[in-house]
Amino acid sequence: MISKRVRDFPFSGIREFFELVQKAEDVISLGVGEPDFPTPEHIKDAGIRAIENNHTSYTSNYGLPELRESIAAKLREQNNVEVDPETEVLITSGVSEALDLALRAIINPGDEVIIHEPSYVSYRASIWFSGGSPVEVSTREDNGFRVQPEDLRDAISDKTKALLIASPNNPTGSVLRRRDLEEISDIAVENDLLVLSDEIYEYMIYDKEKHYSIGSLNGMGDRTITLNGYSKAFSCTGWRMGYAAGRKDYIESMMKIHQYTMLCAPSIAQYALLTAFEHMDSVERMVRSYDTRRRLLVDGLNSLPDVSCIKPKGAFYAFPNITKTGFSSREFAEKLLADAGVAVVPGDTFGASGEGYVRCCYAASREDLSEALERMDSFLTKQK
Amino acid sequence: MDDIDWKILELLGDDARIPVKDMATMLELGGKEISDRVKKLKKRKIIRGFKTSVNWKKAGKRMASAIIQVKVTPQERSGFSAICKEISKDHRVKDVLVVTGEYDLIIFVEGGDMEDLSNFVTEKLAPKRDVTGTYTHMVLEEYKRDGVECFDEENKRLKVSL
Repeated sequence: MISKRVRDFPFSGIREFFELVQKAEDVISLGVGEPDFPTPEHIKDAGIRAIENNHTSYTSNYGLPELRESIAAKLREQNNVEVDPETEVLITSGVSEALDLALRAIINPGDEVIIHEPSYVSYRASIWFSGGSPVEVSTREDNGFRVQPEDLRDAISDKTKALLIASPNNPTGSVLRRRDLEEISDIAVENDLLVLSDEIYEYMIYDKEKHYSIGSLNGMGDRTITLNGYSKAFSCTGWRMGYAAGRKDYIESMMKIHQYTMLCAPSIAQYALLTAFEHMDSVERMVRSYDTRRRLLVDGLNSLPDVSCIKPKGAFYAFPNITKTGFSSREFAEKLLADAGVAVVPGDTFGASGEGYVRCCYAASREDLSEALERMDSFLTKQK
Repeated sequence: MDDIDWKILELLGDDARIPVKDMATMLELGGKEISDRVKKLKKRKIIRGFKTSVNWKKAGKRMASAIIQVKVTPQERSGFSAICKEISKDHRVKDVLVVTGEYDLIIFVEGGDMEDLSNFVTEKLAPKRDVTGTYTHMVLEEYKRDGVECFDEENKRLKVSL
C-alpha cells in the first residue's frame, strides 16, 4: 500500500549504526549535529513569558508579523537582502520545513535540482519526495570542498529547475567565497534557474572568511529563496524555528502548502525568538568558543596516524580524510565505536563523495575532544 | 592586557587545568608565549590563584560551611581594611567581602564540623573589638559552587544526529 515514490527511496543504512551509538555506554560522541550550549537565557525567558501570557494560539499562516519584520530587518542589515515582511517572509518549523515547502512549490514531476555533495542528508530526500530528481555534483578536498561553478554548469540539463547550495556546509565546513557565489549567480541567470540557499550556519564562520547571501547579488533577489533559521546560532534546535525569504510569488506558493499542512510555526517559539537578533553577543561568544575548539580538534586529527584534515572554515564540523587507514568510512566508524568508544559519522552518509571521510563535530567539551583524540590515537596505532 | 590575555583568561576561567599545549593550539600561539603570559598574569595578581572546587560531601568528608554577615565599627582612615585583613588570615575563612546593606561584611567559612564553626564565631569572630554583631547562616545544601553545578542532570542531547 506504500506509494512507489516513498518505497523507491532507500532507507538510510546509517540508522543501524546510529542505534548502536545510542545504546553504547562510555561513548564520547563527535557524532552530533547540534550545539552543546543551552538556549540563551533571554530566549528561554521569552518562551516562558509567552506561555504565561497565553500566546499559545495559532498565528498568521506567514508567522507573527513582528517576527517577520525582525527577520526582514536582519536580512537587510546583515545580509543585504531586501524583502517585504508582509509577503516575502514565511516562518516555518525549522529550515527543513522551509526547504520542503520551497521544493514542493517549484518542482514539477521530473524536474531536476542540482545539489553539491557531501551535504546535509535531507536535500536528496526532500527533492525526491517533492517529485523531483536530485542531481549530485561532487566536491573535493583539494578545493576545500567548495563546489566548483563549472561542475554545476556541467550538471545542467533541460530539466534543471534549481540549484541548492549550502554555505557554510554540513558536513564539510566549506564556505563559498564571494567570487564562487558570483559565478553561481551568472550560471543561474544564464540558464534561468532558481537558487535555494541554505544559510543555517551563517554565523559559524572562521579565519576572517565572510558569509555572503547569494540573494544579495545582482539580479539574484528575484530568483533566490533564502532558507535560514535559529537552531544553530541560537542553540535552539528543539524549538523548530526556521524561515524562508524570497520573491512574493514563491513565498506565497510555499505559504499555500504550509497553511494546509503546518498551519503555522509553533507560537511559543515564535514569541521566544522575537528578540533573538538584538542579542548577538551571546552568539558571538558561542562562535568564539567553537572556533577555539575547531583548532583543537583539527590540530589533533592531523597528528593522528593515517589521518589528515583540512581546516574547515565554517559550521562546527571537521571532515578528516581516513583513506590511508585502509578502512571504508563505515568500517572506520563502526570499529572506532566498538574498539575505542568514539562515535563519528561515516562520510558516505552525506553522499557518495563523502566516502573516505568521517564527520567529527567539535560542539563538545574540550575534555571530551582531548579524550576522543587520545582514544583515536591508540585505536589507530593498534591497527599498524 | 590585550585581546590574547582576555582570551587566555576566558579559557582558564573555564578550566584552570587546560594544558598549555591546548591553549596554544586554540589561540594559534606558541606554548612559550602562553606560559609567559600566564606567568605575567599571575605576577600582576590578575590571576589570583588556581584552586580546586571540591565536593567534600561526595568525598565522604564532613565539612561544615557558613555564610556570616558581620557588623563592624569602621576605623578612621583605614575603614574596614584592618579588620578584613585580620579575618582573612584564618585558614577556615574562604571569602571576605565588604558589602552594602545592613551588615558591613559577608564572609564564607568552611572547615571541620558545625561545632568548629560555632567556636569560630563565638570565640574568634564575635569577641573582636571592632565586631559589633554577626548573623550566621549555616549551609544546608549546595547546588552550585565556584561556578560549578553540584547536581547531576541527565544530558538529553542525542548522541548522534545529522
